[in-house]
Amino acid sequence: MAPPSAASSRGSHASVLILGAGFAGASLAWALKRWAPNLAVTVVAAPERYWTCPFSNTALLAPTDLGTLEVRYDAFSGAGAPTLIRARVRAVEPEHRALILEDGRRLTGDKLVLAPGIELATEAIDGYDDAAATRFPHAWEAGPESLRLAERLRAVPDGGLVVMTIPPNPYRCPPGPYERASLLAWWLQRHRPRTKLLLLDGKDRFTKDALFKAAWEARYPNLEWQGLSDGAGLRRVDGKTGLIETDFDRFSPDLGNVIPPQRAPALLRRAGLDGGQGWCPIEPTGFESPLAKDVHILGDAAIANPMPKSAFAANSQGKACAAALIADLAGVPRPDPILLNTCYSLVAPDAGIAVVGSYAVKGGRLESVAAGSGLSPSRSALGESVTTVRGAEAAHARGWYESIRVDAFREGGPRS
Amino acid sequence: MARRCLPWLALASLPLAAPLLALEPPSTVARWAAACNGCHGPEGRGSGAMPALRGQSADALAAKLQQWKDDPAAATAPGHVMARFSAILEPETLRALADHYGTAP
Repeated sequence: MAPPSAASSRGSHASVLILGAGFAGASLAWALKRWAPNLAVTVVAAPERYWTCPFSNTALLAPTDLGTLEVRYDAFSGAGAPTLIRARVRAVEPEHRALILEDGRRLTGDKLVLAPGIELATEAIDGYDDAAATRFPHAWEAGPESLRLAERLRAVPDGGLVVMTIPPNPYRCPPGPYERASLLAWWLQRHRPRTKLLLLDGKDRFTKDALFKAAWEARYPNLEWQGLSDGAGLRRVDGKTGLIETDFDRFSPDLGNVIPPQRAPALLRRAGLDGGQGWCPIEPTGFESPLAKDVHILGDAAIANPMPKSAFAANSQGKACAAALIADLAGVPRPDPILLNTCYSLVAPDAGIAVVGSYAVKGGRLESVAAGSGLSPSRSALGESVTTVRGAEAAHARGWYESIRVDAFREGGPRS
Repeated sequence: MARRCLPWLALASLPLAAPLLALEPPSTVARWAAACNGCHGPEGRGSGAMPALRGQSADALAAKLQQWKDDPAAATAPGHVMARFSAILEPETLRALADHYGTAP
């Protein structure tokens, strides 16, 4: 007798196994349960506590707010919820659509979706060791690191120097470093008015750069940005002496926030899913790996250019992938994906800006749709209404955050 | 043996779509609504400064989306975000979304 075909094991009894319960993995899991309640959906996530990266820059100003960013996953225990397994994963076997857990368990699904986020490529920075990690907290994954950076900020003397180093593209949350810089400059202006914030950037252009730079010029004389062409490329750090060395200069700041370059986590790279590129290629209709059938990769780990590595994009990809997986399992064509992004950034606690993107599949590639993409209006275009408009957009940023938390994790912050 | 096969034969004689009914890709409107709910709160009921979509009149929602679509330059922040998304909505999806969230006139 012939073994059951893939199609016969599919249909409504099919199973989807997801690695990662961040914005991509959790959004996918809930979208699947909503649109295909009989589908068996299992999510495997690390046992460590998890705080969202969105709004973690504001926690640097008010560290007690960090608790409002924690995701507790309480909703995953309810009826009709995806099954959540908190465990570390030892290996991914793409050819078997399998995850091998650290305790030896082996899980498989008709579809395997990998949404593990990022890994910091610290060895890309000369001299980066444990001492450097302690001396220059990156806080690029929210949580205790954010508190360390907030504490170190408060220890900076007035008249001191704070240095941020910003990696070249691509990395998680393209506008994140510039929002952080804005909020640090805002805090320093009020609490350490003679302290300077220097940004050393590994590139010359960045997202929303004109909007950020205009805000900095209007608000923060204490902030200076240097790009790659200015010699700001990071050469070396020394955690023992506190030295940060660029192509042109060396600095001994009172606080260094070194944001390392990033890549897809080792689990995926060891499984060959990055094709040696550091990040994982996907085809854009269902985010399926071209290197492994029925293995899909979402969120920051995927190469989804021109979509940025943002929480909004991850949420959008989760929903698009859910529709594609259901179509695949039902044996019907995938719908054209709806892929959108909005990155809100605060240039001050009460002032926000946004970049908007819409994406479509053309000739097998993901492309930006010009009519569906744009930026907040410039200061000069807004004139006197700039305060009102930026204030309204900051309020929208907070409204978005509360909404996307409920959408992705089915839980609000403690305040909601 | 023949008896045991009977229910399966009966099932097999149903239209092919029947066993797959439980697994059907979401409609275009359902997928767009899922996108809207990302910012506008569960089922579009609003989230802080993000306005509620549910409870507005369907005609008013459609008119607002159409206005953004027709004249995106007139939208200032934070409306510029919606002007961009309205631009890529097909007319029939725009109307169906307004009907999905909105109340009948």
